[in-house]
Amino acid sequence: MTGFLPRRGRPWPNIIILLAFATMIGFALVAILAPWISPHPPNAQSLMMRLRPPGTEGYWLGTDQLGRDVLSRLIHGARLSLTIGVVVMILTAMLGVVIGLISGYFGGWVDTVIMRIVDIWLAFPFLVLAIALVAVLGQGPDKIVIALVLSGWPGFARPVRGEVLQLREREYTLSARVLGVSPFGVMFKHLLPNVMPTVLVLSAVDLGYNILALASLSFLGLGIGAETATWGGMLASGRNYVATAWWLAALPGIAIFLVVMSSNLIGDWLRDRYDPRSPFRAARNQNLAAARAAATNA
Amino acid sequence: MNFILHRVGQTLVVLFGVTVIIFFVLRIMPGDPVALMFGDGDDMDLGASRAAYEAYLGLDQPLHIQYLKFLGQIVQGDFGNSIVRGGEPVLAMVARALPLTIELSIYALLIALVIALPVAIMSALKQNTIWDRGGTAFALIGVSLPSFWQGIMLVMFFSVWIPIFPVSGVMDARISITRITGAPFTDAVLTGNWEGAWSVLRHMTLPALTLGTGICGQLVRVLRSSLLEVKHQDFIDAFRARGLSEPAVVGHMLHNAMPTTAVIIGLRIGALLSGTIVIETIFSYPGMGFLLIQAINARDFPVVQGVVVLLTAMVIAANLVADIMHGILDPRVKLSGGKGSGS
Repeated sequence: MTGFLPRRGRPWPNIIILLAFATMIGFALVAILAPWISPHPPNAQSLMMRLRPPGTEGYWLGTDQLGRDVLSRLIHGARLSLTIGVVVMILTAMLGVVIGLISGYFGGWVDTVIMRIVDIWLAFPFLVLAIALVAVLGQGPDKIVIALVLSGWPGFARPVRGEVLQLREREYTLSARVLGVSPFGVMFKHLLPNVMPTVLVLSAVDLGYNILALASLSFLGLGIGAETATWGGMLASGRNYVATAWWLAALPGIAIFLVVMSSNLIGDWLRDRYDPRSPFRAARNQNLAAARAAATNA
Repeated sequence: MNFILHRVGQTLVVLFGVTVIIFFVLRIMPGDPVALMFGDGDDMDLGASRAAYEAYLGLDQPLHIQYLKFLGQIVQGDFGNSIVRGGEPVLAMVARALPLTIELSIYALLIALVIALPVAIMSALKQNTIWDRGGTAFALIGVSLPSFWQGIMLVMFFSVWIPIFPVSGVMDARISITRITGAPFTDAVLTGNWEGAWSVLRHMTLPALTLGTGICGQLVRVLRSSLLEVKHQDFIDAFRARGLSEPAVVGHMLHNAMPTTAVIIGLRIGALLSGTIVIETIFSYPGMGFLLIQAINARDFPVVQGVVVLLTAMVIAANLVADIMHGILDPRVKLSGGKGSGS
C-alpha cells in the first residue's frame, strides 16, 4: 500500500467535487420541476417542425423525427431516470443492508447460507440478470425497479456483512447484548449507524449504476414503453438519424454521462473520506473522540 | 491443491444455485411465459390450446419434477429448442453466436491493453502530476461513458462523417469464409483468405473499440494502483542503482503488476460480457448478446434461458480460473480461501 496512501489522504481537487454535486443538484431540480420548466409537453408532436436542429426558435435543443421538443423530453427523461435511480438505490440499500446485518450478526449457518446465496447471485452478470428479469416481468417502471433491486442487493449485503463481522466484537455491541438488548435492537440501533458510511459510499456509486442500467434497458427496448420519454429510449430512436440529425443521439448520451460521472466522482470522494484505510478518516475519528470526551467531561 | 479442490467444489455449488435461480425466475415469477406468448387481449378462447401447450412444455407437472427434468437436460447439453425459429436447437444457435462474441471480446481486450498500458504507466510513474491527473480523469471518463452512446458516436464519426468503417454486420456480403471454428477472423486467417480477414477486422473494429474503451477505464485504474504498489519496493530501487535503463525498470515493474491485473480482469469478465449485449445490438453483430435480445423480443423463452445459463456458466468458469491463478500467484490467498470463510 505504500505510495497509495498519500494519494488517498490528499483532499480531492475540490472544484471538481463541487461541480459534481452541482450537476447532481441541478439534475435533481430539473427532475422535480419538470412539469413547470419544460417548454413543451414531452409527447406533443408537431409534424411541421420535424428534425429541426438545436437553436430553432422555441425548440432550443431541436426536435426529433416526430417534431417533439428534445429539451422537454430530456427534462422529463431526467425525472424518470433520477426517480427510478433513487428509488432503486434506496430499496437495494435497504434490502442489502438488512440481509448483510442479519448475516453478519447471527453468523453460523445463517451466515453460511446467506453468503452462499450471495455468491450465486454475484455469479450472474448484473445486466444479464436484470435483462432476464425484465423479460419475464414485462413492461413498466415498477417492473424495472423490481428487476434492478433483485439484481443489485448482494452488492450491499456482502460489504455490510464484512463490516458487521468486525463491529459485533466491539465493546459497545457486547455491552448492549449483555444489557439485554434484543438482537434486532443491537442491529438497528447500534450496528446500523456504524455501517452507514459504507452504505453511503456504496449508494453513491449505485445511483450511477442504476441510471446506466436503466438507460441500457430502455435503449434495448425493455421495460419502459417507447412512448415514454427516457434517455435510453431517445438514444435508441435517435440512432436511426445519426446521419442527418446528430443531436437526437448525442444529447441524451451527454445527459447520462454527466449524471453517471457525477455519481462516480461523489462515490470516489466519499470513499476517500470514509474508507477505514484512509488517514482522513482516522483523523476525523480522533476529532470526534476528542469532542465526545470534552462533552462528557463538561 | 486443497485450495483448488475447495474452489472447484464451491463453484459447483454456485453453478447448481444458478440453475435453481434461473429456473425459478423463468417459471415462477408473476409474468408467466405461456401467458406472455398467448397474450391476454385475444377474443378467442385459447384455454384448450394453452393447456395442451403447457402439457407439451411439461408445465402441468409439480415444480420439483420440472426442475429435475430441466437440470437433467442441461447436464446432457440439451437446452431445448427455439419456439420461434422452426424449432432449431438452442445449442446450435449458441454455437453459431459464441465464437463471434469471443473473437470480439479478445479484440476489445487487445485494444484496451494497447490504450491502457501507456496511460497507466505514465500515470503511475509521474504520480501526482498533471500526467497522473490526466490519466485518472481518462479512466473516470472511460468508466462513466455509456457504451451504447459511445458506439453511436463512433458510428457517426467513422461511418457517416468519415466513412472508414462499416456500420454493422460481420463482413461484406460478397465475401464468404470457409467455416472451421465458427470464428470468422480465425477461419479467414486459417484458410489464408486475407481479403475476408481484412473485411472481418474492419467490421469488428468499431464494436471492439466501443467495448475496449469501456474496459480500458477499469484497466487503467487497476494497473495504475498495482504499479504504484510495486513502484516503491526495494528491488526496483536496486534495479535503478544497478544502472538499468528506465524502460527496463518499467518492464520489471510491469512484470510484477500484470498478474494482479490479469486476475482482476478475469474476475470482471462478467461486466465485459454484459457490455457485449448492448454493443452487439448497436452494431447488429450476431453474437450472444444479439441472440439474447432477439430472443427476448420474440418471446423465445428456451433461447433466453439457454443463453443466460451458458453466459453465466462462462462467467463462473472464468472467475474460477482467475481465482485459481490468483491462488497460485499469491500464496496468501490460499490461507483465507481454504478455511471456507464464506466470502
